[in-house]
Amino acid sequence: MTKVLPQGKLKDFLKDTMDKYSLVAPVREDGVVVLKPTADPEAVVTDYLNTVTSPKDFFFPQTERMFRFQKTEGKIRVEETTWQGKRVIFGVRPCDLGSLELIDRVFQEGEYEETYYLARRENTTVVGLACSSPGPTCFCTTFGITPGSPEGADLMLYPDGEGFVVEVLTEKGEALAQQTETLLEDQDVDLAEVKGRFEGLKVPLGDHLSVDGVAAKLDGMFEHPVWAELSPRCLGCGICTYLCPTCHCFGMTDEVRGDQGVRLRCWDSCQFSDFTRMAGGHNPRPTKKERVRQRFMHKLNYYVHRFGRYLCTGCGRCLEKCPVGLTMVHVIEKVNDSGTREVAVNE
Amino acid sequence: MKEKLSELKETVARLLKDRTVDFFIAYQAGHSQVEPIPFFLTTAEHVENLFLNNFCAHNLSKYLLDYLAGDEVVGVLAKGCDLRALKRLLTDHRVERGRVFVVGLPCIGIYDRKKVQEVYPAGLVEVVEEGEEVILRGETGDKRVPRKEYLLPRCLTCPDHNPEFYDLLLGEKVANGPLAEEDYSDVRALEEWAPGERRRYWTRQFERCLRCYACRNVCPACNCRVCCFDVAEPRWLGKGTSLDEQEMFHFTRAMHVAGRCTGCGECERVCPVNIPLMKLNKKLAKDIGALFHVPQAEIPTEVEPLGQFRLGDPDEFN
Repeated sequence: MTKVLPQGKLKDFLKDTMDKYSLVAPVREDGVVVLKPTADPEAVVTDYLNTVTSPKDFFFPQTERMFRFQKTEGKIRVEETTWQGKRVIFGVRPCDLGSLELIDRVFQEGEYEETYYLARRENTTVVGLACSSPGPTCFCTTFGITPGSPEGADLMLYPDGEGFVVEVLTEKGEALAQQTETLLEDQDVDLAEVKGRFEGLKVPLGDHLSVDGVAAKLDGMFEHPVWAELSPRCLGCGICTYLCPTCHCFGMTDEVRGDQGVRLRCWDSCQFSDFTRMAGGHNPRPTKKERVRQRFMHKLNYYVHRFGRYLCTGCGRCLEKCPVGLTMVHVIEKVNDSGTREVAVNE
Repeated sequence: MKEKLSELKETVARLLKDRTVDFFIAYQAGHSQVEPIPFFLTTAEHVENLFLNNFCAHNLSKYLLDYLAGDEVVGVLAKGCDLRALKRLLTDHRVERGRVFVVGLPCIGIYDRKKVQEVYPAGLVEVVEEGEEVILRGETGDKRVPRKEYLLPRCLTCPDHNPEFYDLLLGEKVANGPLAEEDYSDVRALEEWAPGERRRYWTRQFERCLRCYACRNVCPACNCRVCCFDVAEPRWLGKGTSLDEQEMFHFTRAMHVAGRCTGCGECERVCPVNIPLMKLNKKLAKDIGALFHVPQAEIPTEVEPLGQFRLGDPDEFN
């Protein structure tokens, strides 16, 4: 037997969820679907290709207040801020589920664990939503993700007929299933068959785009003319990096008023002109060329060397939103097509 | 518009070959029919990849700011709206006329990609114009729609179907005249709301803002050498995001381009989260028009309504 959430009970599912968790879910607002905290199950939608903003916002927020400090009588008192609560993020697509696993490694592996991020991860239950109809900007399959991949979810929903077939993947998912158990029906559905159907869905763009060998090729392309060719049209805005579910660069800043202040950790974008500008004014990435190169080298080469995977899940947000088409797909195609002269020189 | 492509190719190839320009900025094909993207051509061979259709929205003249330091002559393709943007840069003394070679492009309107994609989420093959109607030809069939409803907002009130000036015009001039009067109806509608309602509306918009600065970066009136938002010391705007900071950003941006906004609407077009920035810009244009008796607040002039002072000014600034 497999658990199924009937379509008509979705709102109740969200309502029961909210008895124990705060809810973050896709909401349509002024023509865009954004992921945001909501207390209104009626406002939650499921008819979106993907949300404009990604779930990373709720683990690695754009602005993290790390601690407050106050100077009193020559001493500085530091008051750490910790995130508390139990949260459910509803409706996360497979590409975005995959992105969480990629960011996890940055904040979890190595010498230091990033406690702010991990506190949110531990206390958040992620409800995935498989994709019934991948769109023209989707290319998850390029990176080994499918419209039915549940990796990264605690509880996965597969739209099927008049409801959602439920797959519980973790203890957190199990807890949520228990919280909402009166709404989940046991039905004679073959979960493996349903999953197989989603995994086999065509993703036209992704099925034809290969990233094989791109990282190795880029080893020799740091000085390749492709960057000077691609970068002039970049606007230098932060759309790509801020909407990207895997970008995770940040800067630290103290906001001080009088004798007290707060230390913030804020998103930064490698596409901004002041990214990595030093205190003395030197900027190692002075023009768009170096900044555009940084974005794609980070995703297609540096991260691969460090963690063995590409830092992209084919969500297609850069295709949908970059005003000048400086997209992951365009760059991968460029790299695939470019001459290997530099590779030969370096080898 | 695409019927002018072969003439554009010939023209650009010639300009590059005879070194009239050092490079040329036009359009190339993007991910789909509805998303042409900017294209920087450095040799005549590049013209084979030129692209032109009625989705070529980007104002290319803003890129001229990237080449201030050199001495290249930059060729740029400009529609009427783009020319107004160029005029903005020239009026603000940011770009030298002698370093720009303008190829003017007569234009009867650019389609709004978002509106067209609502009808054809995928597989738009071409757009065929038939008088007041347009046929959106997709893989799944045709759809005949009123042309006006699918144009970018700026195109409806556009007074410049032909660029005001150019070094060379592509094809023949087209009949001029806006499709609709600029009556600021969307601004008037907002003005009639109760203050609390308006407050909620704008709060929702600004809370959605990502501070990606795409609106600033495409804006031809945002042409400062160093933007105050990029200065670390003093920090005019906090790095942290909050409703306060977002409002600070948007009001500063809007007030800074007040009286200089050319009404191109590029800010609103590129905003990834649909913030209706033109409502702010138009409110200011409307008020400036009324307060300073400027008939066309969005047309750059040497004597700016907010960029001058008079000894006999009745306002004592106290």
